[in-house]
Amino acid sequence: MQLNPEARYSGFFEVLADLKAIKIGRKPVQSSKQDVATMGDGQSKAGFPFVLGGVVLLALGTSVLLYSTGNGPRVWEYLQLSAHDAIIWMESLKESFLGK
Amino acid sequence: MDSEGLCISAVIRFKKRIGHGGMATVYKGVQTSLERPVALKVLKKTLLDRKDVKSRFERESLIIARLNHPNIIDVIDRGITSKGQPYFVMEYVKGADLKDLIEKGDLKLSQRIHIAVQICKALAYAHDNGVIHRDIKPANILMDRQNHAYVLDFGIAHFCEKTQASNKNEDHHTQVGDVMGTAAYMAPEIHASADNTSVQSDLYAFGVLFYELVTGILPLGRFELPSTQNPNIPKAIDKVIERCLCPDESQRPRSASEIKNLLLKVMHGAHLAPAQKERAKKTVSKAEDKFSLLDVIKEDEFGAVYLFEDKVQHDLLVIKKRTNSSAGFRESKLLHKLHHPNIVTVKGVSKNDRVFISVMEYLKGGCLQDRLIKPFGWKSFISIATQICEAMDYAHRNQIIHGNLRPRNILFTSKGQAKISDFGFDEHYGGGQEGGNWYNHLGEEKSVKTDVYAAGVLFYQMLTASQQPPEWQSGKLCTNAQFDAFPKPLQNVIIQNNAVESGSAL
Repeated sequence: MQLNPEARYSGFFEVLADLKAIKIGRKPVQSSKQDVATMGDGQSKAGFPFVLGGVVLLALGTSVLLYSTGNGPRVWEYLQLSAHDAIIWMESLKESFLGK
Repeated sequence: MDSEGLCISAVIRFKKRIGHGGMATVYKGVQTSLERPVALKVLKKTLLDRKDVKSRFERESLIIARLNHPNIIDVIDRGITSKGQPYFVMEYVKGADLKDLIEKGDLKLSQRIHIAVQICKALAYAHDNGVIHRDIKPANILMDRQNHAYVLDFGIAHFCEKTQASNKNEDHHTQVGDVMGTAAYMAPEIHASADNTSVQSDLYAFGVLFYELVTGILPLGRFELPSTQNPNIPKAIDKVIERCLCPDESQRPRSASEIKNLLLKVMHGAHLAPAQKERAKKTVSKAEDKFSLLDVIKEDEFGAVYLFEDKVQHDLLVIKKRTNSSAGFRESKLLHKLHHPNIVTVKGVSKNDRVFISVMEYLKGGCLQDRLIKPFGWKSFISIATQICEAMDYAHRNQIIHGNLRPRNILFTSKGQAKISDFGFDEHYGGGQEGGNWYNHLGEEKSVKTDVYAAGVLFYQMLTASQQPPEWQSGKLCTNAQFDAFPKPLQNVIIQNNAVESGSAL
């Protein structure tokens, strides 16, 4: 094994700069020596409003479909289940963002 | 295969059954590869009937098996038998359990307090790693012939079924059906719910054990304080027990380490050998009346580490003695004049023709080495790594190279603040660490870059809890799935802290 100490950080001020550039669970981060990277398996927190909007639209679409097919009374049951699933899914997504 | 048809491992040979309890059966066996005796604890099969218990066993038994402390019995292996019974293979210690020793009543008071100190050291270490014992009692403390205490069964009660305790449980034995523990030693909050298990519930159990250890009886009902029963028992012991047995858990001591320090102050070195005391006394000969010896942390041919109490300020101090041929005096002298929140304060240095001593502040939170049994989360990693880097940057700007950066030299305050110790001190490897010095394995001359490399290895260990140093092949760090799951910038910090072969791109 041939290791090259020249390739190492030249001092702890450089390590500190890179550590301080890392923001867990927030915006994309910039390492002082590296390309832009994101936390949480490449997913961005900016996607949250779209995810939430999608869930609401899906729930509304489901209710319209059920009313039109005569299954109106079951709409709330479907909505409740869908909302429950969505909350669990979002919790797990949040945990992955926070790195737990 | 034993007489009951349990297939555990081809390398373990069963010899005989040596114990039986509500939770498990204990066998004596032989590890055939090393021809050494081992103890096998085979837990009840019913424990694994529930899926969550099985997954919990698989996850947490690994952490239990990784606990490595002189006062905790070593777990060599763990697994599940062909019949579905969880088991632990442990080192075999010849001796008696503390229950038997208390019943015999032969122990001196100083020996009893020293046993309590050893139990506290084990508890402090496990608690720092997030492991709660859940069943502290004399039967779970093994004593060898030199009065060295070993705590058994860390966290094993966790795998017990969560069912209500029987109020009729009068024989004080742990049974499947207890709320994870033994009734007489159980904190009041555990009687309400097993979910209330915490560091403080272990300290309550310790309080019961300690009372029993000094008086020989259990503190049942309105109990008398130990000093009332025996005037030779110092009042400070009463206070420790009263605090541990406080029904309100918030009033109990905050940590086992706090109790240990209180007990060491009570003992004033009574547990130490006269020769050890004499050597320590010589170390502080010029200021003997100012300091009182509490404990000998380490002693070897290169020097010693003592725990003293300042008689005036009542502060605890660590005094390190090294032979003059050892490195570290220059660095200690420089640091005596400097101050950084992440560097252990050097309160004084002195030197004679044979040895030099460095007087340092004592930190209650233990060291990083004791917290490496499981990986750090990213947030706490970044917080600690930043503190380490800030301290190292400050030291380097003041022309101080550490040269010996490793987990044992990263200490913590009781609030979790990291502080680096032992700048310039040599580490003497006795062959204990396989592969020699991981933190400077190429044997480079001490420099800023060797400190950077050591920090890289240390960071890798914090993030992976790896028991092996990082390996490199063709200029690339050999990573595993766990490392690959880290955010890229974090991976890059580790990679660049270490080194790559010339020409390879990051």
